Amino acid sequence: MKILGVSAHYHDSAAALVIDGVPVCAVQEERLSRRKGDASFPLSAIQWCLDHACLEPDALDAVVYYERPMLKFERILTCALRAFPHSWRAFPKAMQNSLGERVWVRGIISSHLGVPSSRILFTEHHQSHAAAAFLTAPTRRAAILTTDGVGEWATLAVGHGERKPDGNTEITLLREIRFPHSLGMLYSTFTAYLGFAVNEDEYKVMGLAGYGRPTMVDQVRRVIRRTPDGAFTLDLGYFEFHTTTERSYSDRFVELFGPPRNSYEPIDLETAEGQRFADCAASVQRVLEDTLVDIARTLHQETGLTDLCLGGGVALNGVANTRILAESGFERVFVPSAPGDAGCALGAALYADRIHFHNPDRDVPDHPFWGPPADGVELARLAREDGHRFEELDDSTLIEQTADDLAAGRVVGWMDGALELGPRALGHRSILAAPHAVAMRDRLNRDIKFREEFRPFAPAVSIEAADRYFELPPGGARLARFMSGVFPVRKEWRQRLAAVTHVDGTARVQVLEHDMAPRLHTLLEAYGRRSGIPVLLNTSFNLAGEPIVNRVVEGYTTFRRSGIDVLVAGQTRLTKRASPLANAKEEVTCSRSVERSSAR
Amino acid sequence: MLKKRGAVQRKVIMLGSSFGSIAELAGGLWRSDSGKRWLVPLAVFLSVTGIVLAVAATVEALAPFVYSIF
Repeated sequence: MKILGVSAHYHDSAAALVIDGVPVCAVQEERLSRRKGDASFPLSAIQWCLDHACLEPDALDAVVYYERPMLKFERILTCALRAFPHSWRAFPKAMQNSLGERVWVRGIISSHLGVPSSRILFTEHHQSHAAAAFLTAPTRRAAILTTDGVGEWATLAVGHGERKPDGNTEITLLREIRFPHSLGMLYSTFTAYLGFAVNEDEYKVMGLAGYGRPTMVDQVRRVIRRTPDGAFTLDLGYFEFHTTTERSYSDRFVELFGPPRNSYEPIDLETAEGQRFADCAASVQRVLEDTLVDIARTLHQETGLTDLCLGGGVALNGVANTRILAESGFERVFVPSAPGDAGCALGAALYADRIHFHNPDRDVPDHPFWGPPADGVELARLAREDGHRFEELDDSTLIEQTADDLAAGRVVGWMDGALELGPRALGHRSILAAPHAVAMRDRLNRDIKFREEFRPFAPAVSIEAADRYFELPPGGARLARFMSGVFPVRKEWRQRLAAVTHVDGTARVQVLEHDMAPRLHTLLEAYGRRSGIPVLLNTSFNLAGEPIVNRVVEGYTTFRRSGIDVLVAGQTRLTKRASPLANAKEEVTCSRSVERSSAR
Repeated sequence: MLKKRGAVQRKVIMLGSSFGSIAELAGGLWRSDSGKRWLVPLAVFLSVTGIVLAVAATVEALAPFVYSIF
C-alpha cells in the first residue's frame, strides 16, 4: 500500500511517502524551495517523493493530510465570535487566511495530484503528532504526550500506544487541553515579547534562558495557572493571540513583565535590561518544564508504562525533555527527529497505514535520513567549473584528511547521504569544527552562521565515549540520539569543550551510534585519535535565515559565502582557494563582521 | 510526475470538492454537543463566499461581475 502524507499551510510544510508500512522518503518543502519555514502546499516535496519512489500520483492508495481543516476553521470562527467585538479587526483577516486556500485542502490535493476525493484522508493534528512520535520509536508500548501551539482545537494531548503481538496497532488519546489554553502559545507569546520571531525562534528563548535566573516565576504563574485536574489554564487577560493577529500579549502582560524588547536592538547581557529579558526567558522556561513534568508524571502513574513518546513542537525543547526523563518516572523518552508539524506528514501517513487501513505493524528504521541524497560528483563538477582545488578520495583517506582539517582548526562543511527530516543537522548536513575553544564558537557565530552571540553550539559524540564527557542519566543516550535533550558537560571537560558548553554548563549533545551515521562516527573516532577527545562541534549547515542546505550546489554556495574552510560531499573534498574573487568575498565578510562587532 | 493543470482547471476541481467540505463542516457543527448549531448558517455563508471569491479571483473573465455578485 502506497500512502503519501502531507503537512502544510501553518509552519513547516512537508511530504512523506510510506510504502507497505515503511517510510521510503520524506522532505520538508523549505529544503527544496529554499524559503525558511516554507508553509506553502508542498508541491516540490510531493514531486520529489513520487520521483524518488518512481511513482505516478495515480499509483497512490491514499493521500493523508495531517489535520482536519474544516475543524480548524470551526475553531477559528468560534474563537473569533467568542472574542467579538475585540476580534472585529482580526476577523476578516482570519477568514481571508482560512477561506482563501487552507480549508479547501481536499480540492487542492485533488487538483494538483489528480487523485479522486475518495482517496484523500484526514487525520487529527495531534493524532499525526502522536503517530509520528510513537510509530517511529523502537518501543512496543508507550505513553504518548503531544504538545504544541494549536492543532484543530487541541493544544496538548495525552494517551498511549501499543503494537500488539497480532500486528495490530492502537493509538488512544485519552484527554486533551483545548485552545486558547496552550503551552506552545504561552512560549510563543514570550518569544514575541522577547523580540524574536514566533513559530521560528522559540529555541532562542531556550538558549537565552541559560543566561538568566528564574526570578519572575511568580509572575509567569499568574499568567498560566494550574487546575485541580492536573491541567492548566491561561489567564486570557494577559494575551491577545486569540483575538488579534497583530500582537500576542496584552497591555496587562507588559505591566506585569515590563516593556517588551525591540527586536532590532541586540540583547546586551551586561545591562539590567538585557538581564531582565534573560530572567524572563529563564522564568517561562522553568514554568514550562514544571508543567510538563507534572503532566508527564501523572501520565506515568496512570499508565504504568516505562516508555514515553513526546510529539509536537514543544518537544523540541531539549531542557524540558531532559527534566521529563529525570523526574517523571519514565525510563525512556522518545522524541522523533521532527516532532513539529513537518514530522506530521510522516505521522499522518503512518497513522493511516496502521490505524485506518489496519495494516500490520512494521518496524520503522530508527534514523532521520529520509531526504534527497548529496552527490559528491556534483561537487567535483562545480569545483572544476569554478577552477577550485578539489580531491576525490577513498573513504578512509577522506575521513583521515577531514580529521586532520578539524584538528588544525579548520571549519568543515559536511554533506553525506540523505538529508535529515526535522530542524536538527544530525550528521548528514552539518558544519563541523573542533569543540575546544570559545574562539571557535565566536568565529562560527560571527563569520559563518552570522547569528547572536548568546546562542550555543551542539556537540556530537560517539555513544562509546558519551558518558565520559557528558552526565547522561539512564535513557539519556536515547534522548540524545536526535539531539532532543540537554545534559551537563562533566566539569573536568568543560574547559576542553568550551565551544559547545553553554553558559550553564550544559550541551545539547548528539550521541551517535555507528549504524546511524557510519562516516561521521568514524570521523569522530579519527578526530579523537588526534585530539584525545572524540567530540566535534556539530551545527546545521546553513547561514542565518536560510534553511539547511539540501543539494550539493547549496552547500557549495554556502561554502563560498561564508568562512567555511573545507567542504566535503560524498567522496569529494574541496578547499577554499586564495583567488582575488574569494579574497574579495572574504573581505566583505570580514568587514561585515567588524561592523557587527563594533555595533555590539 | 505531477500533471500541470491550468489555474482555472484547478479552481474548478476545488469548487467541485468544496461542497463536500462545506457539508462536512455543517455536519460537524450540527452534531456538536456544545450547542453550535446556530453557527451553521454563518459558517456555510462564509465558506460559500470564500470559495466563490477564491474562484473569481482566479478566473479573470469573472472579474467584472464580482462587484455585481456582492
